[in-house]
Amino acid sequence: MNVNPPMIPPIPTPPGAPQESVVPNSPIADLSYRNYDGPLRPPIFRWWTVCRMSLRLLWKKPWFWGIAAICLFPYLIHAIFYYFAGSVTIQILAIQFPELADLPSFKFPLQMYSAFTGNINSIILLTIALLAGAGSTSIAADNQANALQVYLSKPIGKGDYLLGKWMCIFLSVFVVAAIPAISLYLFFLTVYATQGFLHDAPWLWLQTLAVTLLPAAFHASLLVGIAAWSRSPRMVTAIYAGLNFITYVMAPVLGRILSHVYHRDTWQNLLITHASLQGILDGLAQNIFHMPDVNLLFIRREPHLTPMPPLWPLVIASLVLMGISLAAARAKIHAVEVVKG
Amino acid sequence: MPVATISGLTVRYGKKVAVNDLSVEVPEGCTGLLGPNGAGKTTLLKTLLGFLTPAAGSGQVLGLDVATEGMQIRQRIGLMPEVDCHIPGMNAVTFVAAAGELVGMPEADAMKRAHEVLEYAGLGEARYRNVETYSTGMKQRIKLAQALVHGPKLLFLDEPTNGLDPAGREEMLDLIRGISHGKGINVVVSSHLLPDIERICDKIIVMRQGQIAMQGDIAELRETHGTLVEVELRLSNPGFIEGLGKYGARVLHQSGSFYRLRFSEARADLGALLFTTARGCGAQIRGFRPALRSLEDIFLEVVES
Repeated sequence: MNVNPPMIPPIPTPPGAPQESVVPNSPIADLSYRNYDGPLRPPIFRWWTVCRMSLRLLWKKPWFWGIAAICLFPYLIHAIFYYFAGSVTIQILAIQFPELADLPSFKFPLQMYSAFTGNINSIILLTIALLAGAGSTSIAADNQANALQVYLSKPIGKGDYLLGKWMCIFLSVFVVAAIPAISLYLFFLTVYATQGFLHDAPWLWLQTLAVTLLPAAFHASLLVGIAAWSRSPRMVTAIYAGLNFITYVMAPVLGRILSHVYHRDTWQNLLITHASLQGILDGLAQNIFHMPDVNLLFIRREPHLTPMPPLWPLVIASLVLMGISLAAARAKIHAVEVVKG
Repeated sequence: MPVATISGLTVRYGKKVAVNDLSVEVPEGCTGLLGPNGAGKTTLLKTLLGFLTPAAGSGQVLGLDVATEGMQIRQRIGLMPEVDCHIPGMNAVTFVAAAGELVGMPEADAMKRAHEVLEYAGLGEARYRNVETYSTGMKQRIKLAQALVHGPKLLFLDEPTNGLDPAGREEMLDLIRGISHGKGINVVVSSHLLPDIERICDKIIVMRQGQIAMQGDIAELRETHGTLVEVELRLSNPGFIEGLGKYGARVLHQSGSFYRLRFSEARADLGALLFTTARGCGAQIRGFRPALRSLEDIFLEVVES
């Protein structure tokens, strides 16, 4: 039997108006269920899908870019300062006072650069890490929304999920840290290229990369570990920020007390001074740049007061902390609540 | 061909045995998984998805081994979990498209398909709203949409009508019935709401204490073969019931002059027997018909046995 869809009666046309053709009403779209017969990629590299989704969410937030711009700003000031203090000044002096042409040329400020890259924006990087690792894209937010049941009911494993979330924080912090640092490096390269820049600091680009990768990996690992055990992103923010702040304040005080008690700066005291989350990163940055006391360079008049902390204890401490955090996260991540009988 | 085959499956939570030496074949079509709380329904689903490791036994879903091919299984099936779940910070379209991408759909296909399934699930223009702002009914719909986005061959629905008002429940049941009949999708519905199962499923599997208590086609299980009859008299008449009692009948339910009777054995002369008894005690029969068992009757029989 041929069944036609019910027709809506046509709207009556006013007298004298031209007659329109009557077209039977029909559905404008087929809203019934249809099967998907398109391609499905094999279940590999799913961590990148998780990461991309989280990055999309994070990077569409204006405040992320606002903070990234704030991070860029000190570098900009730094570049402008050295442009005028170095290159322009020398040119003016050379024109005004040709007799001073044989004065030693303005050297590349490696200490300042390393201090800047290694430490000056550490608070901003921590903020970025907190936003990425403890915001709506974090594992804590996923726990709160039971999103793991969505993620893990798809063909992705716990490792894919964790790596995706880790990579989101890592890339966010790395991009914000690396872009201005490398830009500043390129700026100095152009300004000081004729003054032995590459000769004086041939591995600076590699050191810059290492120093920007370090906080990214460190913050990402610790935040993933803490967030996996929480159902509240705000709680994760509070715990991680508090942990950073308290250890950053306490450790130097303890180190200073010990050095006063024993009347000398031993390597043990130095290590205690760096026994904080930020302290570990600072100590590693100093070792990477081979620059002592990067942390306090701008505050103290004598920049070489405090020697570098030993490298290997800091490397081991950072690796242990990162390892424990990632293991803790892996232990907690489950698609379902597993009840122990 | 069964969509899932399980043989001697045992699942433990520590010392507690949740599923005990269970063997079952889940048939094609729409199957209801029934059982009282703690019977092991959700545990069985989680094991089939590869979320839980069985202590013993084996299982196959769509021909794939649950112990070693969990990823491939999860690529071919869709799960609508019992609890509210979504990826935070996303609107419905982004969320469902993300679910599609996680399964392996190309980005453009996932987005196009997300719009299709959300439209089918009845979310309309609300699909552009953030999922956090959704009502319970809308969250149920979006859970169904994310399970359907990649066109699975098998769909696991865990308590799909949880928290829905009567109208929402009707709509959800219509949606499920729509996809489980004539669309080539096999559906397993886990629920303790028997009317829901009765309405959408063709077959049931009843679980009790981690084991299969009954399995079969609902129409066949409801069949009483003449042992159950509903009789309506003009006026209620205790003599009529007393008279039928001599032939092994007992009243299961009475409402005014309406009786639901069960005979101890099937009777070929049921009509004649009813009229003879009625004439003997002066009762007037308004109507009678062989009754079917409700799913509730079947369930209670199995659970209480």
